Amino acid sequence: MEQKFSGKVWKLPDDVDTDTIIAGRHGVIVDKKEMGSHCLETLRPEFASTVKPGDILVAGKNFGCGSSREMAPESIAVHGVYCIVAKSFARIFFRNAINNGMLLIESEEIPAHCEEGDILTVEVNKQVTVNGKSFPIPKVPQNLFAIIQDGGLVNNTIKRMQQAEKEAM
Amino acid sequence: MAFIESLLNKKAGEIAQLAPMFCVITDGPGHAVFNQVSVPEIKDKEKVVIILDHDIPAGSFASAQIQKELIQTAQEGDLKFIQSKGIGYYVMVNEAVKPGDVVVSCGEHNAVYGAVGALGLDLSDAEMAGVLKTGSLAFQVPETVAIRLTGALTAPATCKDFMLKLLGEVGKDGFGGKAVEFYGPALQALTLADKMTLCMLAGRTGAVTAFVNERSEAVNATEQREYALGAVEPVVALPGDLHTVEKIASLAKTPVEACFVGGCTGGSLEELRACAAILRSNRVATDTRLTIAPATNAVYLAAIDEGLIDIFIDCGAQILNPGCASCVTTSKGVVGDGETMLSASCYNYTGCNGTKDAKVFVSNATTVAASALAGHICIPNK
Amino acid sequence: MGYTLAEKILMKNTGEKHLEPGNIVITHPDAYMMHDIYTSFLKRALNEMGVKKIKHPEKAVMFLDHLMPTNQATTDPEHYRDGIEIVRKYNIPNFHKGEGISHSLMHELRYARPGTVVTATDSHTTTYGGAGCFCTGIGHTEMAAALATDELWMKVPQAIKIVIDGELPQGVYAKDIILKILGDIKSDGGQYKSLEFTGSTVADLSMQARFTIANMALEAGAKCGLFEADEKTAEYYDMDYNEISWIKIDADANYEKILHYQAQELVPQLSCPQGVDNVHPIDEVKGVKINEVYIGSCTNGSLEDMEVAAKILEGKTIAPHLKLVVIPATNHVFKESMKRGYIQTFIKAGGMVTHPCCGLCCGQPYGLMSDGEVVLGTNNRNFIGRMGTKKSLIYLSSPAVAAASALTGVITDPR
Repeated sequence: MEQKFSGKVWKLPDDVDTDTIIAGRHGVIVDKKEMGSHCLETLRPEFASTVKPGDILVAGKNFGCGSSREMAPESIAVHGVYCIVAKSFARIFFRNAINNGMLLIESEEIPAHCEEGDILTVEVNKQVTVNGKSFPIPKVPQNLFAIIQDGGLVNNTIKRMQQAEKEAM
Repeated sequence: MAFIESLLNKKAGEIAQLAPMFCVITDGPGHAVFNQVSVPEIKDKEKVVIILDHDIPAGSFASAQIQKELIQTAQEGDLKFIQSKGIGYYVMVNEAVKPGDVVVSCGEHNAVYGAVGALGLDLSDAEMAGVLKTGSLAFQVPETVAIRLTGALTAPATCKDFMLKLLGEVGKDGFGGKAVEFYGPALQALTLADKMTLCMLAGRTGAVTAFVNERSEAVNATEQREYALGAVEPVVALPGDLHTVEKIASLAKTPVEACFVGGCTGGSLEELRACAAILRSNRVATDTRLTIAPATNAVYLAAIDEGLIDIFIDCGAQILNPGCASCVTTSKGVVGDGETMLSASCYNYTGCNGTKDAKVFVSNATTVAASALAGHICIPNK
Repeated sequence: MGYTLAEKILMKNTGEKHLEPGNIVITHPDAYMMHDIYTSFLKRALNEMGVKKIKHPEKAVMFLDHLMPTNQATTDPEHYRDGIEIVRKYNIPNFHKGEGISHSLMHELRYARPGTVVTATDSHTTTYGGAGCFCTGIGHTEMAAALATDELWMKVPQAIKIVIDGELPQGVYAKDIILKILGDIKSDGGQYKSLEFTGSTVADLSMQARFTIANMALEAGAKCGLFEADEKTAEYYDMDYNEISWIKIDADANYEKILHYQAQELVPQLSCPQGVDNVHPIDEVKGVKINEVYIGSCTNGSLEDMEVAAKILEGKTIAPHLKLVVIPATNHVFKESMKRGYIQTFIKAGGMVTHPCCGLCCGQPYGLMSDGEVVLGTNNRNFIGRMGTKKSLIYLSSPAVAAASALTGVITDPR
């Protein structure tokens, strides 16, 4: 992940639940691309067909509440969207998104200061700038940042297992 | 005189004006008849029975919509409404239909009413619409194929095996346009469920209807056949239709991922008892799943009472509520690509219970139970 | 210095002498639960990571419950086979195929035990907190990593203490308690936190009632919903109370917030469309016409729940044209309910009783609703489209409200 990147904003409301991100009946589709084509289907029917890699989701509070389905972040990430800003995230969604190599930024202010289509610039662990205004953002804890930098938990775990093997030898 | 001739008091070839006693409309085929007939147009509301039995509880948005509309129609017309009681054919036979009644519906198995001496006919939506509007139906009395049954079945063979064998022999149009009449000394030992199986599956020969005639020793018919039930062996219908039938030995070791006991030719109390005898103290194979659906609530309650449901649960089966269940469905108990199902139901056409690439074989209920334990098609050895 | 239940259990698991909110710890979970919604994804993640062996197969439990019987032909059979494949490949001894809902079985079969740390690929994993088990949900990738390494990081959560005192009025149940709390603190009121329940009412609650409350703590966003261990807990697990008596809230523990409720003031509650936290007392909702009633789920599918519903429905028939779907949570509940005649009561009343599974709760084909229809369920979520089309509406209540409403066809006060 770049230390600084910009993307176009998709604005989403409070309490977007995992069923809304990807309905249960689509969440069981194993093919990620096909599953991703149903992402946010009821809330934003145009999302899956028009979202571009690098776009950024900006949501209200409690984003990703509901089930533990990892297909929720996966169905977003499969479109090349790797950054979500929200007032707050649901706990399991938070873990799952990081495990898929996504950067999540919690901020009360940013969602209030940007609209659909705005260009938002992220400087990792430092600040977010939008509409000429900059907002400080919290630092990601080291263990989580390592996962994001490895591109997700799969690569991170492979590394850890190799490390453990080396130590055992 | 053939049974149908005496029932209608007309000779074969003559036209009878029928006044159906029951017009049964389910959430299966025929549910759309109310697109052609509005409630105020129904001539005799007393005779209409709406039954939800095909996909209950609703297994898809489409089913939910169909059921919602049927409920609205039933409410609007204050029509007889039956739901969550089981398979409509069974409910009607057990609770409503009397000898001599005429019953019409848009299903494929209305010949079943011949098991209790009533005339059951399969109608198209348009024909049903006409009956609803006028209360009557012009019907040309068919010629009869008389089938004399002798001897007695020997376990594990059942009436289902006899009928599958017959369907294989006759083909899907072999009795086209005829009435089938079963008679002879073998009938005495058969249960009502057996007789229902005979009549229902007789409808799959192209016959317009079928009867069981226990009183007659000789039937004056255009075609006569005779079968000794003692010679019947368990068989399996191959995927596609019920007319390609093989002995089990030639299919033995065919792996089955899914098994289903239930449906209108496999979910009676007698069949559940026979399956329980096989499943008791055993476990369904790890790679195989078994669903069991009693035909009706009455069967379900009796099966609970006799401890059969406990046996099924303990062997690893899953119980579905009475109804068509996994017989013809796109929801509960489906099979996917590359999978094989052995079913005690009476449908095995492509895609009838899952994807187009799934295979569905049909057999009697005990063959299904034994195969579920083995994980492959086999003959019950009890 | 005193500790919260979450801190105590995490200290026990990690061996740390002191923990406080915000600390990140590496736990070694005592049980890993996975189910069929995620088997295919879990298999993929395990393969991507190149996991040949999982560290402690004996701690893993596999359930086929969401998709058993198989429901979607294009997906479910694959998930089913992948579940069996994982069990075989990784020598997982604990495998339950179509025996009931995973969460209910996790405590019924005593996999999730008091004072332990348990994780699962499911959000309602919080359920076992009813027995003082620190349990929380994760995704399938994380499960793959945890199975491979036997490590799972946790942030020590802030905690909210919820004190409920007094005697519950007749007709008011555990479900009403948790719905009332959810309505007050909202769907993010417990975000990342441990909700810890105590008070005289809680002490009086049965284990099943505690599981009901812990199950829905998640709907406030909570990481876990924990109960202290007592004699009832020890009896449920057939263990010596002295072994688990440490699972108690310290008087001087550090809680972010303490909420107080008086049980005798509670009335039946309903979660209304569309949001679990849109909670209203029954007086504001009664009379709403419903098309279907669903009794079951890991929230309210226990033997006690069946009993409550059966007592109300006994000898009666449901409203004409209304559909009633009942799904006992586990095979044990199903069998025991038959023995006691509850299942027979449901059938005679006009209900459809089907095999223990997650059923309609997770949108499987057990009574899906069409546009404009209304379902009243005893389950835990009423998100848009969860149990039917997006134009169908979902209310959530206790089994008592559900059963009473099934008789009338409108939302009805069971008292």
